[in-house]
Amino acid sequence: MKPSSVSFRALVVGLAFLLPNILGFLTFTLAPLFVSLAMAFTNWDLRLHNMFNGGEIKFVGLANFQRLLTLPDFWQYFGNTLFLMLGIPFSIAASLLTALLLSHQPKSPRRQAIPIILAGTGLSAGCGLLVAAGTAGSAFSLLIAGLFTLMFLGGASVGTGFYRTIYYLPNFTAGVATFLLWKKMYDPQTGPVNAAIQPALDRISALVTSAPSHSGTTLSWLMAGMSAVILFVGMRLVAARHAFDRTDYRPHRHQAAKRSVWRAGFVLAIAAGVFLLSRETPGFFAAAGGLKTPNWLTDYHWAKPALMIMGFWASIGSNNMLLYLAALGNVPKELQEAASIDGAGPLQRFVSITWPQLAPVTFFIIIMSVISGLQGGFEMARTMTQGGPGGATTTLSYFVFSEGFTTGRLGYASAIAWTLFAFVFAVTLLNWKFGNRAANE
Amino acid sequence: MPIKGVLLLAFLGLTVASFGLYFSREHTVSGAPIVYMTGSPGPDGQEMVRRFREWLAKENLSDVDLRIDASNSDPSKVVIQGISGIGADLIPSNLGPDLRYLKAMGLLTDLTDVAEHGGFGPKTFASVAQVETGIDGRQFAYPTLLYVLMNYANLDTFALLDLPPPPPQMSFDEFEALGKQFVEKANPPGQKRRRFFCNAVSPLTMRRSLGLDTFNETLTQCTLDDPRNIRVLSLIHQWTYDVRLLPSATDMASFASDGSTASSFGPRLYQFAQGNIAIIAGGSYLTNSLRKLGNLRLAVLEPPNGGFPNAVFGAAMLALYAGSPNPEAAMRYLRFLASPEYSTQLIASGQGIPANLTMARHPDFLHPPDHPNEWGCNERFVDAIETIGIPYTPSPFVLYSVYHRISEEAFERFMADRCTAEEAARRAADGINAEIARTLEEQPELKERHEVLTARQREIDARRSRGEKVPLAWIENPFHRLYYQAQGWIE
Repeated sequence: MKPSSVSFRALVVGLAFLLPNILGFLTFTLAPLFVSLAMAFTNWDLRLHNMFNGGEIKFVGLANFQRLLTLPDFWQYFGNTLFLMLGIPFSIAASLLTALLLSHQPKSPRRQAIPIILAGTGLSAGCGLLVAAGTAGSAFSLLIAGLFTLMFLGGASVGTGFYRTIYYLPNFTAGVATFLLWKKMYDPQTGPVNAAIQPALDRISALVTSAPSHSGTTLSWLMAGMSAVILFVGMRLVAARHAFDRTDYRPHRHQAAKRSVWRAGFVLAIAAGVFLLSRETPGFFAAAGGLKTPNWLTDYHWAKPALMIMGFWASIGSNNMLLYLAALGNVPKELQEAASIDGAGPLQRFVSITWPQLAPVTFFIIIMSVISGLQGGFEMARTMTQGGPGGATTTLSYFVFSEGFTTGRLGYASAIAWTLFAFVFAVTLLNWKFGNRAANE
Repeated sequence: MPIKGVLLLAFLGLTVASFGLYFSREHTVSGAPIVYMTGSPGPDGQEMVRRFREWLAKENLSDVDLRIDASNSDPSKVVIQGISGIGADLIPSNLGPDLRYLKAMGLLTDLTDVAEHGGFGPKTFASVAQVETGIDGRQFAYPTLLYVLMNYANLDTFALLDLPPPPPQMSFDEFEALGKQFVEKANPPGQKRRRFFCNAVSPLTMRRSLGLDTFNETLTQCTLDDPRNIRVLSLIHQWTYDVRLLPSATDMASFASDGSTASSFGPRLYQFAQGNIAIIAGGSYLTNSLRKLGNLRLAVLEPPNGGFPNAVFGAAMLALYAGSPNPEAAMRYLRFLASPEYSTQLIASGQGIPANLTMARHPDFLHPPDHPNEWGCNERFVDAIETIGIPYTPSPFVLYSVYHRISEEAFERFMADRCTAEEAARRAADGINAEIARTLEEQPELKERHEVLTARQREIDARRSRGEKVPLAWIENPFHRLYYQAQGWIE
């Protein structure tokens, strides 16, 4: 048999195996994609045209997009989407932290597990005693706090597959089931979230109420002073470090200057933050006497943060964590050991070796998180808030659904979907342009 | 075995399994045609299916395998499945305007002729329900039950607090005065209020009682920016956050987590039975669920009014899906709905008011033998349908789901203190009027009608400003037709 006929035969066989997948992709992904693009430029409305109605569909040019971009609600929903995306950096940080904790392999896990088991037993016994004494609320708070502590301690010291499984569990759970659970947890009166927060708020209230009336002003002045100290000391440290890093080699000198600018900016931000907090302190003292737990999902201002907190929780054990775990396993041990021998501490090793090695994965995670962030929010809104209160949690994806199937305007809904795509595409391009360079430096 | 062999084997296995699955499907082995009906689950539904099959046997009609699809009654699912060609044979609708939306999409079968000959035409149910089931003079659905949104009062709750039973009619001021009395007595002083006078009030009913509807007389413009609507919004805010007669959205969310899933109507019934809510808004369809919570002494009250008593009236309906593979069999169930057997079962189950008002006046419905605590309630519901019941306003220029969403969102923003009552009213009116303009742009064929009606509206306004009467035929809005008649403004 000729080699060409063999390769042709192999090609045909390969294509035959791929055909079901290719056909599925063409039928259920690519074709609808093009149809929806065409629909975005038409007046397709379910009342005009569907399998039972043969009304004429008209080409309307950019009218759908023009209407959309001049609609104030669209910008509100776009703002909601972006607001929910503010949680992405925290989520990435959480998944990285989790991965770091879970990648730690202790030398003698059994020995280190003993104190955790003892602490868990003690905690359970304490909760049991509190419940028996009729203080179930305190027992619950203790249980929640203890559980978190134990989880973090356990991850840090044991770091075994068992903990990895536990952290990854939320990813196995169906989204809607999780959202319903969180809806219950956010209940303002009977939910465990407020039950855990309320005792702390009560104590702060009691403390503030019993404090002398001028405490707020005094603390405000103290914090303002502290911000000045942070600024002064911080800048001195930055200057000292810059002097230490100074070199005659031009490329390194440029990089050292850049790092110093970043450090100075960081110090400035911290000092400004403390100063701004000092301005708010008297107001906080005035209001803290009657601190109340939030009405999470029914309060206009709290609904979005509530969803962000839930997203943050989900991200701790997400696929991002798995990616970081895998990437951490690829960080060369020789580099870490060399740095240790040179006297670098854990933080220095992380900043100078681990973090740069993780840059490509972080870049990938950022890209995917931004894409899913722009597209997300539908399930949460549909299950937990119906887009309310007052449109506070209506995201663009929920808007696509409601315009498509509540009002039947498929052409308009497609225009929203493609506008969303344009945003995603533009942001991804920007990420590639700037993020990719940063990741490879 | 080479990998190609494994894959081929898997392919063959899957093919055999697919055929096996197909031939073992129930519809291929069922003896009777299968009819899917989207609806609520529960033993009453199954009991109705049993009665239906008994009725078929009695009427010598061939059997139908009626199956209730409990998980797809959500309106958006009905639309998605309908336009995809996989809708249930019998589609539910609880609102006349929603039925119009389904009809506009072509999802419904015109039943007019077949209903006339089949014994389930408009003559077999209350004439007031024809507003809901009929579109442009054609019948597209059959009512399964009627409802009118009134208030149930738990008389035991009032008695326990040594308060007199509430009167059947209350003005806004009377409602507020009695409500204040209730919440002050029911809640310990100095503590957060957990017991409420009423679970909710309807902004629509309240503004209608002041002579204002969502739309003007000719349905050409939204009128929610009227000062009367601003007054209604302010009152509801005051009742919710100042005097705390009504629970806020947060309070309601809290009720939802009290483990009170005793009924499909949510936690409000449980709170009502517990005495934490003295009055709940709803229709007689709640009776079935209330029975499960004990023998509560009940009374039915009209919603609070500002001078013109009214209540929202509607019908739960079933329509025949245009893509039904078994329309003949499905229509047999619509015929059953018109039978005394159906109404009898409906009366026994306490799930709603029979569409046939003669059956609704049946002693077993007005005075259920096993439930003397309910006596008098159904009578008030039936009376209300014939006296103060007004359906939701259908507009040819804007979808109900659209204007409902816009007005609800404005209302929520106001209740969340994101805007003033004036701003909320303006926002709702502007949003809905913009939708009307958009509909006219998208459907130019409606423009001419809109222009004619707008001119007529100007004439109505001019006449009213001079204190003159107007012809009834000029008025398209069902609310304004009744209101004008009640005020003596009709020629």
